[in-house]
Amino acid sequence: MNAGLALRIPLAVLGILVGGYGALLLLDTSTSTLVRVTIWLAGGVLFHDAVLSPLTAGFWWGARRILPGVVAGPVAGGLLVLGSLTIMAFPVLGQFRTVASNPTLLDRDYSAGWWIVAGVVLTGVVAWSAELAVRGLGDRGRSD
Amino acid sequence: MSESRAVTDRLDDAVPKPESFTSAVHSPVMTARVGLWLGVSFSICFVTGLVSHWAYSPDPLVPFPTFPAWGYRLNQGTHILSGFVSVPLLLVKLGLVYPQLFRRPPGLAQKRALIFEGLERVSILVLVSSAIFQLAIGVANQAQWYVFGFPFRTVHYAMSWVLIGALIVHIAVKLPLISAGLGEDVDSTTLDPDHLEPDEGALGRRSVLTLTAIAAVGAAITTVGQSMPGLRNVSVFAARSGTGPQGVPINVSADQARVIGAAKDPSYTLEIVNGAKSVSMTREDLLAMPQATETLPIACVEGWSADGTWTGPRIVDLLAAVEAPADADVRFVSLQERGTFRQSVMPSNFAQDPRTLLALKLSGEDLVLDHGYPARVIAPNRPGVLQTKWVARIEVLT
Repeated sequence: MNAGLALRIPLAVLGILVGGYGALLLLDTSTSTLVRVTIWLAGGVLFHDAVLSPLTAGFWWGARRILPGVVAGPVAGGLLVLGSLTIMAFPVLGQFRTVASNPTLLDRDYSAGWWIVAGVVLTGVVAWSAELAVRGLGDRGRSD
Repeated sequence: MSESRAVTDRLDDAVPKPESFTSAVHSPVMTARVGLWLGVSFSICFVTGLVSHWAYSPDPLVPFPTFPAWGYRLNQGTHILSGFVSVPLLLVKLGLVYPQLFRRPPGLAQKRALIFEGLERVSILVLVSSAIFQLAIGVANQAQWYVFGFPFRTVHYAMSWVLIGALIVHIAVKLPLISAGLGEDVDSTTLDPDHLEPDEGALGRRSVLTLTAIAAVGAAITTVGQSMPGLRNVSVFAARSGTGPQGVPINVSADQARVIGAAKDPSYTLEIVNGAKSVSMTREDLLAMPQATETLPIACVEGWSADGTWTGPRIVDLLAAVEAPADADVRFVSLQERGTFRQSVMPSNFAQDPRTLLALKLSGEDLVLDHGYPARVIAPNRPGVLQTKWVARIEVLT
């Protein structure tokens, strides 16, 4: 047994104990809660692995083949930033709140906010593409 | 036999393999780095979550401190912020390791390898599902979108132990790869599987790391304003602008709590009870007592917070009226007839703190109904939902 395993095995045991404690806490809840928790756990993974990831990978793959070289990278990068922020902001963007009579909750124009963020990201994409184009030309100039 | 083999072969061909993903970003040098960032943000979430859980406890083993007054505000602001920041970090981390999902199991002959593969897959499933789960329900809950239909606090707390446990197991399994990945330069190909293409093009490793950092900082900037007044205007995705009537946001409105009638009733009296001794006070009686003014934050578990300047009698003076012992915990009961937080138990150290008030006024004006008129609790360093509004009754617990 090497030195690494002497650390890793106790660490794995600790992890199982910590996670097991959480599982015990969960089992203490009602059956209907457990059913809903299971559905949400499975749904989250399925949504990510079967919907979100293939879409992202497809976009990535498409961007590299369809768009010109200096634009493809920045566009895919812009998607990474704007996409992840959009997912994070989904509950406020959708205004799905369960309770209506509270004027201090969701008290912004979230669509306008999203367009501002999209504008900032687009500016970044354009600037990055321009920078790549200029640098590309510069490289060619040097090699001539 | 040969036909079934043909079917599995065709299936094997149709499903992508790890080798199908050739981008140089799918390298251990990348997963180790983004994984480290995510590990840090999840750890901050976990620790601040435990602190919040401690603050909620009506009967903590070790008393939750009343100092500093802004402690819970900072804790909860940090908790929610690290949760938001974790969203882009988790998405990128999962994207980097996505090829691993398609790893083929070892052959049946290699029993030990097969068992190990199975166990690792289970631990990864627990880790990934609980990570997505915690962020999804957390982000929904802070916008009061109770779509999941189970008690949030119980489940979020229990699942945080599951998530951290699975994370520790994952680190134990991957430790050699993590330390090798962090030890290598970002451009190094030493640890790469053979099928990765050279790191070229605009969307190479350094770009992806930079973009991930930009997305994480973007997540922070667009949400942190609900707890940091200076950044209110740029936090376009914050569920609260951080202001409201009398300068303070509302968690539960009087209409939601269905207390408008009872709170406006001119015959309102506050009952203070200590066993057989009890005192009944009108709002005029309360206003006639010595008044104290304290600037204290109201800080919600959902992350938003705001300072208020509250005026009213000190709780300790009210308790003296019924000769409550100094070590007694105190229960506050609201006019609210239902709801989880229609009452709260305040540990004795909070009840005895001279800054703890039964507030009658906010910013020098009578409380508005939504802030708890005729009277509400305000104590330093307490979760917002325990600052009971529309207080009808104070019970000394002995």
